[in-house]
Amino acid sequence: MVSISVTPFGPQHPSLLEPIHLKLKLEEEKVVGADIVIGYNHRGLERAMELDFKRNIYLSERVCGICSFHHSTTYVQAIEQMAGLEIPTRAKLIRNVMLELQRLTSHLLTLGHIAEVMGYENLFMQTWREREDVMCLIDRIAGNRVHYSMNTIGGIRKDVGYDTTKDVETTLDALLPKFEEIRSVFAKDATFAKRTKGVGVLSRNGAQKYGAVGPTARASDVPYDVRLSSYAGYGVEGIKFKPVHRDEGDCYARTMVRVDELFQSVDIIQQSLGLLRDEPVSVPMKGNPTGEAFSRVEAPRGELFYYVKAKGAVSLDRVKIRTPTFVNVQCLAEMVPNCSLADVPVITVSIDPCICCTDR
Amino acid sequence: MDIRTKISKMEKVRAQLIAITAVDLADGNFELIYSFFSKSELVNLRFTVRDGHELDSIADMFPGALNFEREIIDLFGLKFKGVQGGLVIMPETGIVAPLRKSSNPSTPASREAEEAKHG
Repeated sequence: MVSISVTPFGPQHPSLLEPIHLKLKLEEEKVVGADIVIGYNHRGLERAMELDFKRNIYLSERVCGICSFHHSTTYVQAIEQMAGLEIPTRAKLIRNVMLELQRLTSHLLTLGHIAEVMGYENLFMQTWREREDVMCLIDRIAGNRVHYSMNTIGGIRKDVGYDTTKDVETTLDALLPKFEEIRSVFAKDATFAKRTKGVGVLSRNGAQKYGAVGPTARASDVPYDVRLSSYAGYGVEGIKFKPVHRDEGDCYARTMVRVDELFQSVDIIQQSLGLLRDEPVSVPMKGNPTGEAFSRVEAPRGELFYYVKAKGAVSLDRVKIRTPTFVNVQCLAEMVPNCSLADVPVITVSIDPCICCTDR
Repeated sequence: MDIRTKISKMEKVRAQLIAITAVDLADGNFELIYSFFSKSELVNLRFTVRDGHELDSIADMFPGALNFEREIIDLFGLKFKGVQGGLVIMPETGIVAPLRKSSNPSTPASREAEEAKHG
């Protein structure tokens, strides 16, 4: 009889910079179970966000560095919903463009991480090189690379000019062939397939049970995409897309869903740019918000959920932030059993955990 | 408490649990909002619970609920049957239920005043 040993994986570990701790139960090299420990980064942002509803536009961006625009969009949507503001179509479409550009940076970052934990140094550098082009493009649009501060309650703070939209188009046109190259490596490489196919399988049932979201759910044949609920500019007439989904549920499927979403994002940006018309980009908001609102956005890692309860004052009653990784990390408990210890870093990175978001 | 009865109906229609939100109503009561995604729409089930009452856990129906319940134990000091806290706050830190209205977190202004007092 083989005895079970408990091996710590993290919180400081080779696959991720962020602190997540897995208590792995091992039978020799085989993982038989795992306890997931998070909370090393808890900053109490939900309490800090009760102080001032206007400052929250910037504070919400600081929840996470890789999906900052998604956080601020979710927050301002909640306040707009309470104030009954209908934002101009141009602002909605510009939000679309920024949301999808940030999805590009996030997915390229994850693809690089996946390549890196498998020892593909060159592929890691290649994906991050293309990511740098998107980051520089965002810098030219917003003036910042990470926290754009473009959102405001009622629309966008600053309009984008013709030169900028042209710049977005030419940069994306130049990037498309590079994305094709990345796709061909991930799709055709034999070693990559061996390391990922059939590894860390999350069944459809498991994904639904744990409430998985984003690419993690879509790779397990759950076509759950909040963009279909038509927030921001996704409901504008003329924007067409279908959620990417696969049915294998393994690390390979999760990676390929992200690769395919790169092309989907480029497509949505091009559609949005084609629909831009001259009009104001924001409507003013008067007074303090009252009531409560639920707001949902499809962040790169999955559904982002905010609950905001206001009391007609500058301060708020309650802000609840549910980030996608908060539910996705629990799926690891179903993914890691029966895999080898050497596969744990790949499986962990394949759900694209953002612990900074999760701990808030 | 009919939390489990109502939520078992959501389990039957294979709804997806999105979040459990606790709100301090500041009168000794708490509101728990269970948000589900069911048939392409958001469904919120609300329950008002008294402080100190041990609540039913729904983690057997929705395993994803476990972390939400553990977080509520840590941040609001509520109790769920058979669920331990310690997800985001370690028990030995001495921080108890920081998201309750009665708890008084330090703000930049209060910290400055504190520092000035101690020189």
